[in-house]
Amino acid sequence: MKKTKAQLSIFIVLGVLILIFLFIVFYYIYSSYASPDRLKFERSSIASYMQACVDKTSSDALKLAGRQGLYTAPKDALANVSYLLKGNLNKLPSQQAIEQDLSRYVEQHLLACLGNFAEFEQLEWSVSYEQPKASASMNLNDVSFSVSFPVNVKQQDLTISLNQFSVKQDIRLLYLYRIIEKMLATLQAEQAIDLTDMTNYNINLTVFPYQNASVYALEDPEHMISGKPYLVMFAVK
Amino acid sequence: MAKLSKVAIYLLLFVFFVNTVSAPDTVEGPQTPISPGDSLPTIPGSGGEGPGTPIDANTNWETVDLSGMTSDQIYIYFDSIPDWRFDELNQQKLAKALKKKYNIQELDINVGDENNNAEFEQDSFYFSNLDYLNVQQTIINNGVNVKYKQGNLTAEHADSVIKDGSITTNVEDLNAGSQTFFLGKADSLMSDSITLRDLKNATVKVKQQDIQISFDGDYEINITDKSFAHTSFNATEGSSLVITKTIPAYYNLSNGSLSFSGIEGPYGAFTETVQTATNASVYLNPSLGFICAFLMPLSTYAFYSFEDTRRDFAISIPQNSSQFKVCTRKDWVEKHDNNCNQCAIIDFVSKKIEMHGFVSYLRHHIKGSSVVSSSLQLFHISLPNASASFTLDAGFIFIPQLRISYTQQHPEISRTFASRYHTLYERQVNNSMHRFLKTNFQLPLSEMSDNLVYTYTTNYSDFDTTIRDNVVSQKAGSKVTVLPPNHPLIKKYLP
Repeated sequence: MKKTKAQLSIFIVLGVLILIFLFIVFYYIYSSYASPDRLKFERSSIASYMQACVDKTSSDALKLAGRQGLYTAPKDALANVSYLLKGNLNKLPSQQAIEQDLSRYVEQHLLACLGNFAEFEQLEWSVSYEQPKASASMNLNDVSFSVSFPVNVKQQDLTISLNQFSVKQDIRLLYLYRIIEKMLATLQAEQAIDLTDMTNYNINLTVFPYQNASVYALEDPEHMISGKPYLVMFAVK
Repeated sequence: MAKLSKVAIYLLLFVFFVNTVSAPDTVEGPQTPISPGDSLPTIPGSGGEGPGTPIDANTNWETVDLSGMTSDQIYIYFDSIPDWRFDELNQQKLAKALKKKYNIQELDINVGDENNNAEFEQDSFYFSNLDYLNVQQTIINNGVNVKYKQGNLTAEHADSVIKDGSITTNVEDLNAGSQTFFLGKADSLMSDSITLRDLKNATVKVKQQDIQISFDGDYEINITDKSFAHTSFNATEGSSLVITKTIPAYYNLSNGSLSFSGIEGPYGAFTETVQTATNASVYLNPSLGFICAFLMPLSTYAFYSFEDTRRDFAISIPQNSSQFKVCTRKDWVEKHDNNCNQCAIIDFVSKKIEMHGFVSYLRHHIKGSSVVSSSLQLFHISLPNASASFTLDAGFIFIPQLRISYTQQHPEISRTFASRYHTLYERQVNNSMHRFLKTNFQLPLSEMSDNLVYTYTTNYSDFDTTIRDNVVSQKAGSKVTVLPPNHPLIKKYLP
């Protein structure tokens, strides 16, 4: 009986030790990741920090616009997927409108991604900035974002000024857009998919019924975003 | 002395004969010899009108000329003959009188012993009952209310009617002319090993090479043709049917439907039908059924399986098409040329259907082992200059492969209703043929039907479209997938 109790105590002690060890490990990893220590008052470090957010917000913008029918903030949608054809009315936004929408998203979400420079303040850096101005451009094989974001970071009497950021997302949005444009024209005229025309592209198209409408999902297996094929969905009714 | 007396008798008889034979030359209607003592017989059915003329019971009928008599007078002569005297000789005399009166080349009559009414008009005669009447080779046996008028013979009933090498039994409402005869109703009509049963409102013309019938009403007649094939014809107002006296028999029908039921088909018992709103002709094998049918637009060939209604199909000729030939192959020895235009070969042996030209193929909508459509529905339509080749499964139900081809471009060459959900069609786009998929996304799940075609292809493209469980897939360039309602893959996109 005594022997059993002793064994139990050993296991408890071992368990507690393991828990403490794991806590220390996780704390170290987390603090090293979140610690402002990784952010150095160096131009490259700050630029890299900010570039990461430009990358992320532009990527988010593309993912969101893709999933929501080429609108980052859909107005007429089915489960957040915009109707691009409704009652035979073609609602496909223009290329320019999509670019503006993507730009706007980046402008609106960039500061949030940067946590309003909270980390900079933790490091007792003073930051002054102007509102970011983004400009997205849909190209045949990518989407490029150019962000004008004048930022001045001060530490004591040293100042680092940053102004222009840019990123190219390896997403064939214009390619997909043109496929969609053609598909919608066919759907409008024929209420059908041109299967022969689809052989001219190399995408994955999945179509399915959803709540008395149909949803078209175009995936680009050759261009991944966050490790998954880029996806554009739209609804038709 | 004895010789002399014999000569005298013969002389007397000769004188009597000469007198009686010469009498018609001098006797005219009103001057018919009448015995003054005889009372005037009543005239049944005549309303008692007319003066009537009493006649001598011993009237020599060979001397009677009815041609100048009034109808009453003819009747009186007829009625005054006692039954017992209506022997063969008197029947012949009556026939002779009627032939002369009504200018009929050929007439033979047997009035019989029944109580009879008769009427004689200027251009017609009538008997309420007749055992036998042959007028110009139209023979009525046991006729009731028989009337002859200006070449037309009518009867309310006849046990049988023989005309133009045909015999019709148990006839009601007969109206026979020189070329055709109308049957209000008849149990059967037989001619040269061909039997038609249950005739109604039919006008028949029996010729040496065929029987032609036109109909006036909706009903069905049963037919056994010269090859002993049993068919039935469903007539409607204005239908007509011609059956040749050949082996195999050719049937030519207008505005009606011809059916054949067999028990030894490729899939057990079956019925084949050719239905036309215009014109169609068919020839058939007594055990295998229809061999070939020549269908004009708005005609349909249909196959109905007793064992599995999912197998039923039809080939229909659209309004703007032209004559279309449909042939079936139910036995491996049969051969049909499939290198043809406006034709279809239904090969039950090789389980293939080939259609060339402007035609439609109809099938039931099916779900599992059941048929979910009340009638055959359009499954595929090929337009002019297009062809469709269907490879069917062992049960002749599903279509593992459908191949479309064309010889000349057309704005649209074919349309295939793969299920209630998916439709595939071929349409010209910028001078090349494109395959389109139209999906009825509004279709309620409860109304879905199984797709009949599995692989769809064309001879001018190098990609296939496959459909399984109503999931359309195509892997050529892009990978296209079209899902049915509630498919688990939908959750990947809209959880």
